[in-house]
Order: sequence, then C-alpha cells, then structure tokens
Amino acid sequence: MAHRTVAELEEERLEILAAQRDRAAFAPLYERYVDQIHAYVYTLTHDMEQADDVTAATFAKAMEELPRFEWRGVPYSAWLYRVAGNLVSRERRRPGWIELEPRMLPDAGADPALHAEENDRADEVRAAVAGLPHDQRQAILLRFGGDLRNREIAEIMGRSEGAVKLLTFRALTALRRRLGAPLPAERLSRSGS
Amino acid sequence: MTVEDRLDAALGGDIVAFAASPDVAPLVDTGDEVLGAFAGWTLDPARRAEIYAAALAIADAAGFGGRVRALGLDRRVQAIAGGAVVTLAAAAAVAIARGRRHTAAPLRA
Repeated sequence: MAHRTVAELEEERLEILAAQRDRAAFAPLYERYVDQIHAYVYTLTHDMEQADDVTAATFAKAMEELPRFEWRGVPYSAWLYRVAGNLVSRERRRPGWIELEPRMLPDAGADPALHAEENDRADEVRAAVAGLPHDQRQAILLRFGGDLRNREIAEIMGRSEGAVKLLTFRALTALRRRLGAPLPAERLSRSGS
Repeated sequence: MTVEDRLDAALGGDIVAFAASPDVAPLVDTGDEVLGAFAGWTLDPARRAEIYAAALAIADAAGFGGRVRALGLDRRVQAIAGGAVVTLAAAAAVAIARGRRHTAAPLRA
C-alpha cells in the first residue's frame, strides 16, 4: 500500500490554507475524507445513525478549528481520525451506550445485483474487522482505512510504534484465521492491477 | 527482526521482506483484502450532503456558543439576553397599549 507522496501532501496543505481563508473551500477536504471517517466511526460503533452524527460532529469540529489548525506535514485525516475517535470514546462513556453486534450494512449507493459476491465478501471482511478487540480494530482501521503511517497511528492512539505493529500483526492474524484466504477473483484482480 | 517488523515491512511494499517471509505472506493478502473492503465504503451523494449540512449547522451553532463559553460570558450573555427580552416585552406592551389607545380613539370619535 502506498502512502501519500510529498506532492500530494503539499496539495493538501494548500487546500487547508485555502479553507482557512474561505470556509467554502473546505468542501474538497470533506469530500476526500468523509467516506473514510464514516467507515471508521461505523466500524467502531456498529450504528449507522451514530456514524452519521459523529461524522457530522467531526467535520463541524474541523471547520471550527480551521483557523487554529497548524500544518505538521502529516495527512489531514490523522487529525480527523483523532477527533472522531475522541467523540466515539465520549459517546461510549455516556450511560445509554449499548455495544451492538458487528453487522456491516451493504453500501447504500451500490446496485445490489452488481458484484454480489464481492460485496458479500467486503461486508464479511468489514464485519470481521468490527469484531476485533477495540485497539486492534482501531489500528487496522487507521492503517488500511485511513492509509496512515505507524507513527501517525501511534500518535492518534497514544501508543508506541512498536505497539501499533504488534496490534496490526495480532489483528491480521485473527482476521486471517476468521476469513481464510481472499476470494480467487479478488486475488486475480489485485495481481492484475 | 521480529515477525511484526517483517510484516510491517512487507505491508509497506518491501518486496525483499515479503519474499523472505513466507509466514507473513498470508497476512499481507488479508491486509490487502481489508484495504479493498474499506476502499469500497462509499456514501451516496444525498447522505454526504446531509452530513455536510449537519456539520455546517453544528459548526455555526458551536462557533457562537464556544466563543461565549471561552470568554466566560455565558451567564452574562444570558442575563443580558434575559434583560433584553424583558425590556423588549415591556416596550412591546407599552406599544400595544399606545396602539390600542390610538386605534380606539377614532372608533369612539
């Protein structure tokens, strides 16, 4: 998996500067990250309504904090994930919090008849991730959902880079045990790309 | 080098680490699959727009409230706002009373 290039990071820095001057220019940042943040929150909460609410609150906080945001050379998503994670933790501490069973819903925008097998498998994979212990789940989501580096993940989670590597190893071992090998079609499509 | 380090290197695209570590190859495959599963998570445009609208509404509401709280003015603002409501209500009552007098007079005339 490829991390963000220097040029891509520079482009993002300029987008943030533009958004700091004019909030309307925040839209491209929202468009780039809303799916990732939503998937992250949903996988942590297992609740679609809560995923919508926390995602909205995350971007609201992002807009509010824009004037004070300082670029540190890491993807903007690292900051968004940290805010979203904190909001989920705060929700979790509320008295009414109920941990639901992992049950990943199919993509609402997708044609259900199209690529049914791949969609079923993707749902199965996301459900397996949702069923991991909290720390492992977070490490996997930040690495594979958020495309972040170990040091960025470590900072978000308040852990060492070594701990993040260990969590990733344990999570992937558990996922492999649960899911088995990827579907042959997926292997073919990946090797062809 | 620990197995976690070798997995990390292989996940990072280190072909040498991948080739030298047949034990982590299945985990790299699974990581690839997880990557694909989350890349496919796409909200439909209507839902995106709804969430963005909600974010804007929260940011605007929180902006004013946050600034007030940060300055420790919330009680004072409430008191001022409360006072203003009382003043406005009193002014409105006077205006209505005057209006009644003004409209009542021609009727009597």
